[in-house]
Amino acid sequence: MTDILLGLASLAPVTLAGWLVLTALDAQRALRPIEKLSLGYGIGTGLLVWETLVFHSLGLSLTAVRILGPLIIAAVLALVFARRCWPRDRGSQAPFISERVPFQALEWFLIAAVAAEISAAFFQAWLLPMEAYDAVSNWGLKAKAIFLAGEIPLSFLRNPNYEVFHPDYPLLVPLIESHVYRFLGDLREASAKVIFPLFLAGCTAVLFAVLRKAGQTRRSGLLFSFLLTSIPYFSQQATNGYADVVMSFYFGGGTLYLYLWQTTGNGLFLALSALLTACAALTKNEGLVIVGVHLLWLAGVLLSRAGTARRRKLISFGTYFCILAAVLTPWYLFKVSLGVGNDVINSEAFRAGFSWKSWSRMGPIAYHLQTQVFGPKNWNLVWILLCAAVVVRRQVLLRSPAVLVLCVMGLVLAAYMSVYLVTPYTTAPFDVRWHLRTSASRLLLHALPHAVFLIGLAFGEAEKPGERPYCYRTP
Amino acid sequence: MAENPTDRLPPAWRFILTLWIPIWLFFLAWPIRKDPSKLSSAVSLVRADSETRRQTAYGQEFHRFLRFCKDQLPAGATFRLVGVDYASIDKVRAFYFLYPNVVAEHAQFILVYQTPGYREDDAHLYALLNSGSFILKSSTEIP
Repeated sequence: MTDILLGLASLAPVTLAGWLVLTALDAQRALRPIEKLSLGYGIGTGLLVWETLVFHSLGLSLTAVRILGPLIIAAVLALVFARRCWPRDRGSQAPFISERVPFQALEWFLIAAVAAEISAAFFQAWLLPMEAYDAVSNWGLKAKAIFLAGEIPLSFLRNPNYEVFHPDYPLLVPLIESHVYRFLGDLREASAKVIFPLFLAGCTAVLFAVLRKAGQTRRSGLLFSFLLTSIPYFSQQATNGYADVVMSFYFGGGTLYLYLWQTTGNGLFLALSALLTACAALTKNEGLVIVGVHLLWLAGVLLSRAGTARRRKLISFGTYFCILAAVLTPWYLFKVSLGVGNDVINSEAFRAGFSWKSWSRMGPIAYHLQTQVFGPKNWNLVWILLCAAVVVRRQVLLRSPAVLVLCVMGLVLAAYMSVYLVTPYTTAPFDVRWHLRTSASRLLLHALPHAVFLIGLAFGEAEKPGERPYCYRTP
Repeated sequence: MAENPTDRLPPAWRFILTLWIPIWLFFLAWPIRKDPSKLSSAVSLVRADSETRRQTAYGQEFHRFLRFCKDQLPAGATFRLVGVDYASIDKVRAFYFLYPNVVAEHAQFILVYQTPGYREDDAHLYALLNSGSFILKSSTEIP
């Protein structure tokens, strides 16, 4: 229990910084407290990582005070300056969760189930040390090295004996873990593992908030938040120190706020989407695919809007692109300076892997995906429900902006799966099944919040027109 | 007076919940039904310290070997592993646990796990855990 509290204490200042930045950006009070807290955690950790990379490039050593002090001061200053630009009428903070309508028995059940799942994830994470494969090799070892060195140790990342641990992988997770260690002055793995259930809780809160903003009732938001949290594979992967639940949060948030921007026009959602998408690319290399797909979506939407002035379109696209560039530049400069490439996915792999022979892997890939769709042990009925939603409620999902959420999911998953066509190519007998078994299921987690959101839109319960309990003004 | 529409569940929800909740509950209970000792093991871990938990996760024998190596290796020494499958999870756990001691091709120490009788030229016994698991020290000068 102490470990969990210490972990939460170490992440509280980071979350506070994120909260302050979001408050500064949220001139029209579009974000609700629970949503802002979750996003504050996600954005705050992203800012912490960005700042650490900048400090590293400036040659500054990493201490908790040196990192947190400027972060919080900068966030407070941002809020002070932003307050001057806020309009006098900032919109109404109508009830969001605790409306005047009392909770029904079903809602109490759903709240209790969500709370139980999230508590169980914290408990499971706390119970075991860092021991799962990627948790140790990709993230934990780097976090330990960063903490013990008091900086990002280049010699360790360039050590060819550790090349199999992917030194080119983005450092968001190791840097957050090393922050927890640095803050506590001790290598408390159980405290660092708090990071992951917090992202699970964040995913749930963001999904609830976005469903509410998309016009769903409170109990509808609760129902689909419960569905997300109760997917066994999702809650289990939030306990073992893997980065996929972190990706689910950033990718899910990035897409869902882009959807909200498209449907409401609120610039805050565009900025939020850019920040979250950039953080996805700081978490795993797969995030770059997400960046590309989101830029395509944004460009497509802007080009299709005949009534919008070209200047405004350019400002929207430029803002999104500049936020992505600003967040990602320190990491890519660092990666270039490190001089390491990906040992699995690189130009050599693509040259060697693209052949007619590799298309024979389509069979195993399709078979593996099929086992996931009909795999209630891991996924309950989520993929079947998504398929049913697309077929039964095609008017809702295919003839509205929601179709773009579906397209993002499809494009990203297609890009992920296409990698299995070219890798592995070096190790005979080129058995792609092993790679699918060990990694493909986790990739599906990235698109899970999207899937539940779409199911929510399809089967959810909409508020009556004119009776939305919340309202934010659109510009 | 009109009925409050929010009191009744939409048919789609009833259908979803009727299928979803039993599956959810079944797979919650399934691991315990399959292996009831998991529950007692989890309860015993609650009171355990971090080393005992690591021992449970890594396996008692392998954890004892790693603990032995960590205690015996001088600070900053390099090592390589013998008797641990290159692609196994044990290898990454060893690399993680023994850091800041790092792996090197021409290592100062050779950590031998469950390989009785293993010998190398230019290396002598440095520390012994048992007949199968021990540490060899390279006799050649390695910077």
